[in-house]
Amino acid sequence: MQAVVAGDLVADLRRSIAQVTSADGGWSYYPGRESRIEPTCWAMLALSATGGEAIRVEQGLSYLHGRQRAAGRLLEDSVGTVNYGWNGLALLTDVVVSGPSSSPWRSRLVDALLAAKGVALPNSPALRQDNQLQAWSWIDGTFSWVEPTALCVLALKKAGMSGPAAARLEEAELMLFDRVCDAGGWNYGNAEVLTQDLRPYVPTTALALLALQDRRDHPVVRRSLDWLVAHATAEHASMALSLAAQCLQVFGLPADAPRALLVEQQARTGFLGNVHLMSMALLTLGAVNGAPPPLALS
Amino acid sequence: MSRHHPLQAGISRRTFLTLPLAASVATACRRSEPPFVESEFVLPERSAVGLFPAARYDLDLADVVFRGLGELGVDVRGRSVLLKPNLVEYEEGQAINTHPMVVVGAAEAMRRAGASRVLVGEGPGHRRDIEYLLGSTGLFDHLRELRLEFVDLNHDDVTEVATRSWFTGMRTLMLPRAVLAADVVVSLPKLKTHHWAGLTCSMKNLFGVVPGAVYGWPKNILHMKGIEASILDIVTTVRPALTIVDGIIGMEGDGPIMGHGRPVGFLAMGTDLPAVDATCARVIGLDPAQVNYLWAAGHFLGNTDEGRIEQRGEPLSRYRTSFDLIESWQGKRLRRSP
Repeated sequence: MQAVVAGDLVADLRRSIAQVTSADGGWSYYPGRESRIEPTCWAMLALSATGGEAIRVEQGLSYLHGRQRAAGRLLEDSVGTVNYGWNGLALLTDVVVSGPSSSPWRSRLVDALLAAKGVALPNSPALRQDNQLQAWSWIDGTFSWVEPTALCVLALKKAGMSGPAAARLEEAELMLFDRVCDAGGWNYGNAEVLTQDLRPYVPTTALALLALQDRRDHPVVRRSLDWLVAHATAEHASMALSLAAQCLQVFGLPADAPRALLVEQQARTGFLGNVHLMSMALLTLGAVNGAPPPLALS
Repeated sequence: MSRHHPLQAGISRRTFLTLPLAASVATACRRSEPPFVESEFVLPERSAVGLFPAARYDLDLADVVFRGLGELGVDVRGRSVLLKPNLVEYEEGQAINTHPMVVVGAAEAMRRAGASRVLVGEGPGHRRDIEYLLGSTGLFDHLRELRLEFVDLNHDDVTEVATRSWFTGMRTLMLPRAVLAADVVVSLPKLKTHHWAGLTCSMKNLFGVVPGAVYGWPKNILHMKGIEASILDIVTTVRPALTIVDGIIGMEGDGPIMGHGRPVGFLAMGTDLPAVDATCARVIGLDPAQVNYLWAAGHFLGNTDEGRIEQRGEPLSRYRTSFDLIESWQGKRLRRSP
């Protein structure tokens, strides 16, 4: 029964996402609004992983290519700030949907990501962490956070980066290890504030583990994976359930429970009509049997 | 209160200048020119602040708000209203967020008062998963039942607007179009302590209108520019017309997330946000003059001097209490007459 429901839902999601492509080839967070990088990437990942809609995916790539500015970074049309989380996601998407490539667009984007760093700050007694570690911030001039760091690390690893990238990746991994919560898993950026331990969240933990999937023997990864297994269905929301399921799948663990709840979540909230969330759900529920998980490093 | 601006006069307070998070505001204080056009800000002679009894969330809060609108002379007939609650994080049984029944009550009151359209909008700065927050707090079910449109402010289309003050140094802000299109923006905060800023109430709540998809989470650029400075620039630029504070159960201690609930028993309302926040600070035993952004706001944006605040509804003394404060805020309690 569950498989039938999920099958119907997959078809519905595919149709809905394909129908709301913008004229510029991208997707907006909510239908009828301006195209943005994040929903465009998740829509492309979802459609390409579930087969077909190759033209839509190509149009999505054109949208991403059209956002590249002089320094190689991608900038949304009406937004004045470069978001490094979405730039990392765009690189990841390009690698997943286009495969190995030495395109100038990708090379410039890689260079831009390698040049970007979160700011280093003096260490503070209010935060039990190493503020000197520089990974990736959401935007220029700010501090490194778990999500943009995880997206950039995963993208650069998926792109097969080595050489000059190695030092950046190593420091970014150190930053993720440094910010792990006591129980395992990750909050958004800090593990503790003013002597209070912060609690980990499912989406951030899943993203960080995806970025660290090639470090499975590291104690932080093992502890955090244990935490995720225990909490994969704790947050009833499509982002958490989708990322948890994808992460568990990449680590070769059963993901039926979060996938089943994802189907229920659609019935409850319709994913708020948010294209980004619908696409994450489609990527999670609609992957072709036997195909490697799209976010796996292989 | 003197109309002479402290920024112009170079007045400073030792506490104000020594707090690291107030550095950018303090820098502004040392400038010869204030970081705004003075003629655009005129303090009203007096500001009305209503404290309306509401001991529980299962009361008819729409009636409380509706009567409050009348008491304060707020007219929303034919106007579009955007309600901005404070959704931060969910912990079962904890008083972190604006209670869904306060949002429901405010929305029903606005409709009853003749608003042409009522929207609810939020762009959480902490949890970026709005579906999780709406679902876990129970607000999603109420929105659906009342057919209330919700706007995800973190992911709305944006327009660049000139800031009306520049304590942060930022001359423009990208703001969600839903906020800019609303005739009336209503801040709908929870009354809470805040471990960095002292108090999070109607002014600090407006951090949530700044889109995370543009500025990242937790609206990190605003923290880097200074929380107090950012609060001032956002409030001057967004120009909220009204606030309705969920003071039924507030949060004391290590707010805005890790504190604990404290029943207070009112909804506070007013059109002068600094006046409402200063009143709420006095209620919980915090000296508004020690809350940096309130101190600054009181010199150009609204009345924080008790003598210029006209109390409506119940007297402040009915609710006066002493919230638990973390150590760094202990010295900033209101000194009361014996």
